[in-house]
Parts: sequence; C-alpha cells; structure tokens
Amino acid sequence: MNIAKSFLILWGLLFSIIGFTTEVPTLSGPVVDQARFLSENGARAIANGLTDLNSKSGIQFQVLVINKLENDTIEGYSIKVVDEWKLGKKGDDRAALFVISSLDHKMRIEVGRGLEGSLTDFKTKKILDQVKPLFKSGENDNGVALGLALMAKTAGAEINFDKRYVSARHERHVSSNLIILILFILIIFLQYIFPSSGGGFRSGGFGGGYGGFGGGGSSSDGGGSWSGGGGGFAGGGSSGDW
Amino acid sequence: MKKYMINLFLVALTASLLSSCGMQSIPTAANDVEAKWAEVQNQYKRRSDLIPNLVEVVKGYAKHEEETLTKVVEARASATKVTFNANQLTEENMKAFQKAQAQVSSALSRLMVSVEKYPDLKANENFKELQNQLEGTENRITVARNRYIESIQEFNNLISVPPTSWYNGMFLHLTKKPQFQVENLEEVQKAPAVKF
Repeated sequence: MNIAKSFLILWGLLFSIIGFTTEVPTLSGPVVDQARFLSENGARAIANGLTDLNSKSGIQFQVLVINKLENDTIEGYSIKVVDEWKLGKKGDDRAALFVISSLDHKMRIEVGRGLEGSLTDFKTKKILDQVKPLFKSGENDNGVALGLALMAKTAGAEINFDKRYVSARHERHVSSNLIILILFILIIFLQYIFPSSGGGFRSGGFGGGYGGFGGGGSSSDGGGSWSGGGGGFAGGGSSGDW
Repeated sequence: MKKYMINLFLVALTASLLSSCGMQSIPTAANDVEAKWAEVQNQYKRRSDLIPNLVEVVKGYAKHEEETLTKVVEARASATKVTFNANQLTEENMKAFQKAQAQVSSALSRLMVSVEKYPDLKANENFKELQNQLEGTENRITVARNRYIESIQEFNNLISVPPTSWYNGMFLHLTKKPQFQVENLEEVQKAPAVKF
C-alpha cells in the first residue's frame, strides 16, 4: 500500500518536472478533428476531397485540429505529428499537414520536402492570411477548405469539394455580401419605380454559379486505407493565428 | 534430420547475437549521425544564403544601420569558414561551429530589432518575403538540430551501453560524439535588450 502510494507520488512528481506535452492522436483519416472545429458534413466533405486528391495526384494533405497546445509551440507540435504519422510516400514526400489549435487560435501549414519547391514558406504564409478572416468570422469549414484548395492549387493540383457542404471560393465572403447588397438596393429601387411588378424579383433565387472549383463530390469514403509511409519533413511551412 | 535442425538453430542464434551485438546497429547509427549533421549544415547554409539578399534590401531603406549590417556580413563571412564533416566533429570543432553560428544569429536578431524603426521597409513585399524565409529557415534549423541531437544520443548509447558497447570496445573503438550545447548557444543568442 505504502509502496503504491509513494510510487504514485513519484509518478506525479516526474510528470510535474517534465510536464505534459500535447499528444499526437492516431491517424484515422484525412481529417482528424479532436476539437469539433468542423461540422460533421464539412469534415466529411473535406475528407472526401482529400482522399480524391490523393488518389488522383498522389499528394497527401492532412487536416488536424486539436483543442489546445500543452507545453508545445505549434511548430514543435506540428513536426512531432508528421514525424509520427509519416505523411506522404517515401522518397516522394509530396505531403502537407494543416494543423489547427482551436483554443489557442493558432494554425500552421507543415510542408513535406516534395512540395517545398512549390509551396514555399511565403506562399503558405499568404494562404494562412486568406484563411484568417474566415476563421475569425466562424466559417471554419470554408476556411479549412479554402486553405486546402489554395495549397493544392499552388502545388499544381486541384481539390473538388462537395459544394453542398463546403465552399473553397476565394474571398467569397466579401463578394457575395456585395452582390446581395447590390441586388437588394436594385430590388428596392425597382420596386420604387414599378410598385406593381415587385413580386417577380423577390421569387428569383440568387443561386449563382460560382466559378472556380466545380465538379461533383467524390463518392469515396475517407479513412480505411488512409495512412502514411513517407515522413520527409524538414520544417518547411508557415505559422499564423486568427 | 536432427543435425540439420541443430545447424539451423545455431545459425539463427548467431544471427540474432550478431544483430544485437552492434555489428549492424553501430555503423547504421554512425551513418545516421552523418546524414543528420549534413542536414544541420545544409540548413545553416540556407540561412547564410539568405543574408546577402536581406542586407541588400535593408540597405536601401535603413540608411543608419550600417554598423548593424556590417556585423551581419562579418558574422556570416566568418561562419562560412567554420564547416566540418561529421567525422571531424570533435568537442572543440563543435564549439567553434556553434559559436560562429550563434554570432550570425545574434547579429541577425539585432538587425531584425533595428528594422522596426523603418515602416517603409517593413511594408516592402520583398523584405516581407525574406523575413518569412528567415523565420522558416530558423525553424528548419531547429528541426535539423533536434534530429541531430537525437541521432547523437542514439549513437552514444550504442557505443557506451552494453551489450553493443562490448562490440565497439573490441572491434570499432569509436568514441562518443559531441552533443549540441544548447544552454551555451542561447546565452550568446540572447536578443539585445531594448534601451529607451
């Protein structure tokens, strides 16, 4: 009894000395979301898009969302994750990790050696800059999708997300608001001029065809065979916050 | 038939003994150290290659930072002379290498502090990119350094902890490789105090 007790104390002491560090979860699929940062549909659509990208181009993108960093910097944690998960194929190493720490409001894109040439540190920084406003306004699904779509584009590939759930459109936020505002003013203006024919405008939907990332969603299911075998990461990429 | 089985058993026993004795693991670890060291030097070189561009951009905006810039250029020049292969890594050489690189780090951080006074420079797209590349390179250096530290630890364990150390003592006679002295490095690297 006494021995067990002293052992426990010793154990506690040991942990207080070295301190807990953030754990690396198991690699269960293209999207590992421990913080429920993404909606269920959003996460599935993103996972499907990434599985599709991987089978078409061989590029492996991975999303990881954790609650909080414990005694780790985002850079230190991120390299720990890719060392353990070994994303990409050995020798090819065209892989990248998009890691987000939800409560810390920190994010990082960790780039594998095979993509360092195209996805330079500066380009990843610019991508994070574009993701930032979406996270700020709580559009987490679209923020992650936009980040990944831009990463793919920079690396010379394309991701087709299921448009019903996520939108990876560039500055969708600003432009759609602007379009709605203009239409709104136009409707009011026209109603003012032709009071009797206003109804026709109201019933017309604004389901405009967004350009850019077209194509239907892929039917393949994320997970299953999703794994890594490479792990050629040297610390490339950028970090940001929101 | 029985004899055959015994032979097979002996072969298996020898193989397992050999594989755990260090004949294989020590040279493998030594090669790993070499590769990790090459990566460390590679990343430091990457930083060194960024410096001329950085100096060029800063020069155009920050007229009064001549001294800071000269320090960076000088530190870089002396650091490029201090390079070693993995098998030249004695305690002494390691210290010299770290000292030279630490001087570059401190000169660079001094430069980055002084740059704060020039909003035009900070807004310059070219400078922003270089600054970002420098940050990225510092991160790569940290990664490479940590991996090197791990590989050294592995190697040193193999040649000093039994049973593999016995094999080393009998045949290879390799000595421990010097480790990165992190505390020492940080002392020199400490960012300059801001005086008002």
